[in-house]
Amino acid sequence: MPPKRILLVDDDEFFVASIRAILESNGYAVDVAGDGQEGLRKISESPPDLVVLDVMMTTLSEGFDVARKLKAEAATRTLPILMLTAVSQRFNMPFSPEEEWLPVDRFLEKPVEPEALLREVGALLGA
Amino acid sequence: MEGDRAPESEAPEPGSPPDRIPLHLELVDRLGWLVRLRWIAVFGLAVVIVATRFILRIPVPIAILFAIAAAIALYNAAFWLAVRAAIRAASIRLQVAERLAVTQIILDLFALGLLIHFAGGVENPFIFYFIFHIIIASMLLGARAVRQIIVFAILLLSLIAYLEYAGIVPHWPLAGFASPDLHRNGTYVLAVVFVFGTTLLLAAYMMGGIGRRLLDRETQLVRTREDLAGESRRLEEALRLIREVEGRRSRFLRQSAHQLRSPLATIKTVVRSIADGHFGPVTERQRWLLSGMETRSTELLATIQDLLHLAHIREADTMREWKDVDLARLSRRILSEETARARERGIKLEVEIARGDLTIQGFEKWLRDLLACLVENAIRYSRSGGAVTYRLRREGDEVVGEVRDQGIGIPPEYVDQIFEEFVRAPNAKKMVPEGTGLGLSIVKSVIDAHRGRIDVASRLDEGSTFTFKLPCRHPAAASRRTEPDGAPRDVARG
Repeated sequence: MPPKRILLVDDDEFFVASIRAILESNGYAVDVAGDGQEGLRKISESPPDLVVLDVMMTTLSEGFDVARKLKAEAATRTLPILMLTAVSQRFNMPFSPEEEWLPVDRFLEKPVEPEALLREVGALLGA
Repeated sequence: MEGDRAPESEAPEPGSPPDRIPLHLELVDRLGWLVRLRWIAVFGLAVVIVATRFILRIPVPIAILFAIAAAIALYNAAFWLAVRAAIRAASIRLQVAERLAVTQIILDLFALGLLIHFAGGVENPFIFYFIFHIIIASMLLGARAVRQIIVFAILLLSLIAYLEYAGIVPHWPLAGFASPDLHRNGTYVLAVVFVFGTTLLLAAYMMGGIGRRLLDRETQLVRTREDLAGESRRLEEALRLIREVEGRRSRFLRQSAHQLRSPLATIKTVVRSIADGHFGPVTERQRWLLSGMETRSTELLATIQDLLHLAHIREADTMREWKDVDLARLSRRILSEETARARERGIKLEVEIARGDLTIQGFEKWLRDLLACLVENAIRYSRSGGAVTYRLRREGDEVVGEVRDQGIGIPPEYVDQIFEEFVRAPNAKKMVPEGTGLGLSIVKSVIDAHRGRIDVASRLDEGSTFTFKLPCRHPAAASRRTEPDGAPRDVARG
C-alpha cells in the first residue's frame, strides 16, 4: 500500500526539516511548500491526503487564508487540515476554536512534540 | 438700584466675600427658585382674597386685587422666560443676573404695596410680609442692595400710610376687621411705620449675618466643585494617557513575545527531533547537550508564554464581554485536578467551600489560571506531610478565597515584591529551580482585571496565606455574552 501523502506548508526550513524527518521516519511521504500560494498550487496539481499548515508565514494569518480557500472549494473541502501555531489558538487570534466556521480540522501548538504530531496525523488520516 | 457687585476699580465692601454671588449661574438658579415660589404666592394670594371676601365676609375690592394678582402672574411669566433662557444659554453676565434679581424684588414690593393699599392699608396685618422680600434679598444680593431695598420698602409703606392718612388717596378699609378710622390715627400710623421699619432693619441685619455666612459657604462649595470638576477632567485625561501608554506597552510586549516564541518553538522541535534520532544516531554526550538545549528552550518559551498572558490580561479593560463564573464549581474542578499532584508529594489538600452563591462576573479562563496558580504554588512550595487549605466564601458583595500552606514561606524582604514580574525568592528558587517568576504577576493582573484585591501573609519556614477578594459584579460588566478569546495557559509558574 502506498504511503499516505502529507503536504507540509511552512516557511521555516529548519522546522520543516525536523517535521519532515519525524513524519518520513514513520512511513509518511512528505512534500513541502514554502508559502500559501505554492501550497495551493501543489494541492490543485496533486491533492495530498493531509495538509499540515503553519498559521503564520509571510503574513500573520496566511495559514487561515489558505485553509479557508481549501474549505471553500468543493474539490478540497474534505481535505483534512492540521494547523500548527506558535501561539495558543485561543490567544489573540481572530477566531475561537468553538466557532463553527473554523476552517481547520485540528490544531497543534508549536513546539511540536513528535508523539503529539504523529497522534494528530494518525487521527486525521484514520490510521 | 444695583446689586452690590463692586466695579473692578473699587474694593469690595468690608466684611463681604470677594465675589458675593458665588456664581452668576447659581444666582440664576436661585432666581428660578424665586419664580417658582412666586407662582405659589400668586395661588396663595388668590386663596386669601377669596377667603377674605367670602369666608371672613370682609368687603375687599376683589376685581382690583385679582387684577394685581394677574399682574404678578404676568411679570412672573416674563421672569420665568428670562431665567429659562439664561439657564439654557448657560451664560449670563453677573450684572444682568443681579439686575434681574433686584427687578423681581422691587416689583414684588410694589405689588405688595398695592395689595396692602387696596386691602386696609396700615390695618392689614400682611404688611409684615415685606419681611420675606428682605430675607430673599439678603440671600441673593449684597448688603448695600439690601439696605436700599429696605429703604424702598419703608418709604413705600410710609407713602401709602401718609397718602391715606392725608386723604389724598382713598382708603380701602377692612370692614368688620379693624376700626374704620385707624388710618387717620397719626400715633397708630407712626407706630406701625416705626415697628415696620425697625423690623425690616433687624431682619436684614440678622439675615445679613446668616446669609453672608451661608453665601460664603456656598461660594466655597461652588468653587470647590468647580476645582474638583477641573481636577476630575485632568485626572480623566491622565488616566486616558496612562491607558494609552499601557495599551501600547502591552501591544509591544505581546508582539515582541510573539516574535520570540516562533523561532524558539522551531528550535525546540528541531532539537527534539535530533535527540530522538530522526536525523541519524546521536551519542550520549550529544543527547545530554541536546537535552540541555531543550530544557533552556522550554524555560524561555514558558517565560514568553507568561509574558504574553500578562500582556493580554492587562488589556482587560478593552474587553467588552463578561459572563457569570461559578467560583465554587471552578474551584472544585481545579482542586480535583490538583489532588493527584498533592498526593504524590504527600501533601494533604483540605477544602472548605461555603454553600450559596459564589458567582462573580469575569473571564473563566483567567480565573482558572488564578486559582490554579495559587493552589499549585501552595503545593509546590510545601514539604511532604504538610497541608494546603483552600477556602472560599461569600462576604457581602464579594467572594473571598484563601489558600494557605505550611510550606517554605516567603522571606520578609520579598513579601512586598512578590507580585512583581520575575521576582522569585531565593528559598523558592532553591526548592524549585525552574520557574519564570511571572505566575504571581499573572495572578495579580487577573485580580486587578476583575477589580479585586489580594494580600499575602507569610512566615519563613511556616507557610503563606494568600487571600483574594473578587467583587461579584464587575463595574464594566455589560452583558452575559460569551467571553472573548482568552489566554489561559495551562499553568502559571510561580
